[in-house]
Amino acid sequence: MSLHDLIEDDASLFVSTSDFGESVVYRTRSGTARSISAVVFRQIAEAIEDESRSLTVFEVHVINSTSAGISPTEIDLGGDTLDLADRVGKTARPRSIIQITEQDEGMVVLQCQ
Amino acid sequence: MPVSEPDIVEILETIEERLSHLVAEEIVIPSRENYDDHGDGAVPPGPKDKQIIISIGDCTRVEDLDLPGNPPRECWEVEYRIKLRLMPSETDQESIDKKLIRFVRDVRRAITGATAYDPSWHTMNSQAIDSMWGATMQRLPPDGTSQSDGYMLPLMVRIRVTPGAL
Repeated sequence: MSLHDLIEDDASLFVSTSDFGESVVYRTRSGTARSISAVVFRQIAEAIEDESRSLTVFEVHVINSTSAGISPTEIDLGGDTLDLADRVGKTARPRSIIQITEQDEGMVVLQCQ
Repeated sequence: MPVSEPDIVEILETIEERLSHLVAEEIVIPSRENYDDHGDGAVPPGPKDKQIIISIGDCTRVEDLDLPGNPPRECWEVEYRIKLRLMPSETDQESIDKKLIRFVRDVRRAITGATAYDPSWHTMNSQAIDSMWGATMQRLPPDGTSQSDGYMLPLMVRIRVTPGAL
């Protein structure tokens, strides 16, 4: 098994909802949706200049896959969202995917707000 | 005799109502970060395409327009910041500048009378003595993340109130 294959296999373990992962809904700009597993890091709210408010920034790790996760090739930074709760236990709401911060054959790291 | 006081919150609501004629856009008046406990229908206003964020900026005294009397009236200029955000699809090939300028035009038209120019738009439903657009429409640079682009349109609204009533 190549390193490439190992990375892909490890990705599904990393986001397992039995461990660190949680179930989130990925919604495309065109309206389709699917439930996937992701590891969500809820970060400190970031002030938005000129808007008199701040919004929680989320770092979300997902599998690089068009079925079990999200593929970088399908992400549209102009409207795709993930349903995320800004605190554990609260109701999840759509948050815009605003940046792909990292990507490899196994995982994709997204920034949402 | 009690004097009817202009209310800068009502002026904010007037601006919101006028912009609501732009049916394709989302209008956001910022609230606290975690406001999304307010029922299942609420959606946190994260960055979106065709979004208008309205907030109140600086309030400045304009002493030249004060009125003496009993009670005297003092003039204030309140800045309403209307931020426009476009976040089109990555596959959208139309020029962002063309989209933005159309967006700016539509918003300015909505404020000054929606479908037809209203010569009394500047009174904000008889709340203000004058309103004018700020001298600069500030182009907001992309923030390096999404496809977000925008403009900040300052709207200066002058009101007269009794001292301490603002």
